[in-house]
Amino acid sequence: MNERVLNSARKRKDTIVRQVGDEFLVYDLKTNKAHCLNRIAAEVWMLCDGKTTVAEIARKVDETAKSSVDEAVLELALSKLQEAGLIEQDSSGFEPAIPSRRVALGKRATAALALPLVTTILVPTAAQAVSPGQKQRRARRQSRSEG
Amino acid sequence: MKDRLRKGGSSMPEPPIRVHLQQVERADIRPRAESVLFRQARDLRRNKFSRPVEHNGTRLLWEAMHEPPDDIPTNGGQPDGQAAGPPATPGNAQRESGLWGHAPVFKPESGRREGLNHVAWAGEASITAFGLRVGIRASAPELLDRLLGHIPAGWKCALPQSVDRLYSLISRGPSLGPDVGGSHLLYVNDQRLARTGDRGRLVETFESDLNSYIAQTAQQWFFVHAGVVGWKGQAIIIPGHSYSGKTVLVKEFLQAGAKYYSDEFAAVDGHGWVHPFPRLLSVRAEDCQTHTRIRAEDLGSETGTGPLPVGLLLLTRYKADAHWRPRVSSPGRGVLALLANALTARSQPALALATFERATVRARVLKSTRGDAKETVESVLKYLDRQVLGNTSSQSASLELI
Repeated sequence: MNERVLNSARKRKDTIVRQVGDEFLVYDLKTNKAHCLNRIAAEVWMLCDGKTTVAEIARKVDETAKSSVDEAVLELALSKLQEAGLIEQDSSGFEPAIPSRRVALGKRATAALALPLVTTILVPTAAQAVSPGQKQRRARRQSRSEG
Repeated sequence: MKDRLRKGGSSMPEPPIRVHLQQVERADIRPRAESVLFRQARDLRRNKFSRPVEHNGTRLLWEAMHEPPDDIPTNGGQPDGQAAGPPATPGNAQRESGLWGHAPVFKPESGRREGLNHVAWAGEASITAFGLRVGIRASAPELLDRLLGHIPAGWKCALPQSVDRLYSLISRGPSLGPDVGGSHLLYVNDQRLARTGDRGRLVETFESDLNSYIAQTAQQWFFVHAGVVGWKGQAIIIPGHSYSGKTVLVKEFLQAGAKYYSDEFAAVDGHGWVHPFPRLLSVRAEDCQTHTRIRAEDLGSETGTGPLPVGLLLLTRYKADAHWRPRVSSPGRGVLALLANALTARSQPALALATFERATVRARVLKSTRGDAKETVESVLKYLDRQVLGNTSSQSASLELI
């Protein structure tokens, strides 16, 4: 992984973070999206301060996770965090090559559960939550026979 | 009586109870429909209204007729099947306690539409529900009685000096007749919400609007679009949008012996406990164009009266030819599912996260598409009985189901 990428990656600050069990819930106040990060994704995210290097992150994650974390996993975590909009990149930083889960899994075949996971939902407005749109209703009426 | 009221007054407008009384005295009182008016008139004749009450410069008659709202009996704060828990749903047992229909009379200050203030209101009520004050007034006495039956559980009588929302119903048809006939109008504050000849539809519109208003406005509460049933002291929440199959599942749960809590909103308090928010189940017909309203009692079930902790979150939706193959999901995913269906999470995200975290702290989360509702419910209840209530590993339970 190129050092420049991680050095320019900073976690977003306009968020609300809450730990639920082993996971971290992150609410993005700007986009009104809520993210669920598993432990490894959350640790990488919290270490993204624009200064910490890949090696340092790997070492710190190793210490807390008590298992080795290679570059492919870190890169996967970064790409997922970036995709979720949870980290900011300077314009000087180029896009990282996004490794697939299969690639990361191949390198960590015995520790599949330690792969970074980020689940994202859009928190609806009150009106959206009360009732789906007319188009949705019509489509659902046509396609479903059970309400 | 009228003289006594007049003597007690000042330059303030005459209280609406006078209109009310005149209506009663003229009316050919029928046992059910005008029981509210009859009781109020009887109380007046027993000199409970010896003097008007001043409150914030407004002349009220409410205090003489009703006990303080906090005295209204509740379920004592004990949730179904639980020894202890957070405060109970306020005033849940109002209907059963005999206070049903004791609508307070209030003097509405809102209603800027000039014509509304000149209507001779036959019945008026001021209530609080989930911390919101709502006023209801109707031109036909039996209509008010009927509307009070469609207010969410937990309402109390309220001081009537001001309300957050005022419903005005004007019935121009026969006061006691079939549902269809005449012209009926429903106003919210000074805006017309509905005009229909079908009184049943008017009541449905009122109920739907009031529920939505409460769900979108109540502070310190989160309303999640979900079906909710109670099973052995724990709530099963099925979050999901319309047409995801919630009601069918709820109906199946009720037929299996679960208690009914809601098929529309899960009302979650600050402790993360779920309170009843029942209304008649709205079961759609095969063509999805029409629906029928069913009482939980007609399905052999009963309606829950107290708050419950969340025992299970079912993340599911109906899919033709699918089978229930559940996977255990994480509590974090459960919180996301609640957030995705919550009405006011955007406006207070920090509180929403904290509340839903408390709600899911003891809950299991199962995720799967489903086909037949009966198969799903049987599997879920078996899972709950074996694992959640037996306090054993959820992971192994899930594997058994698969």
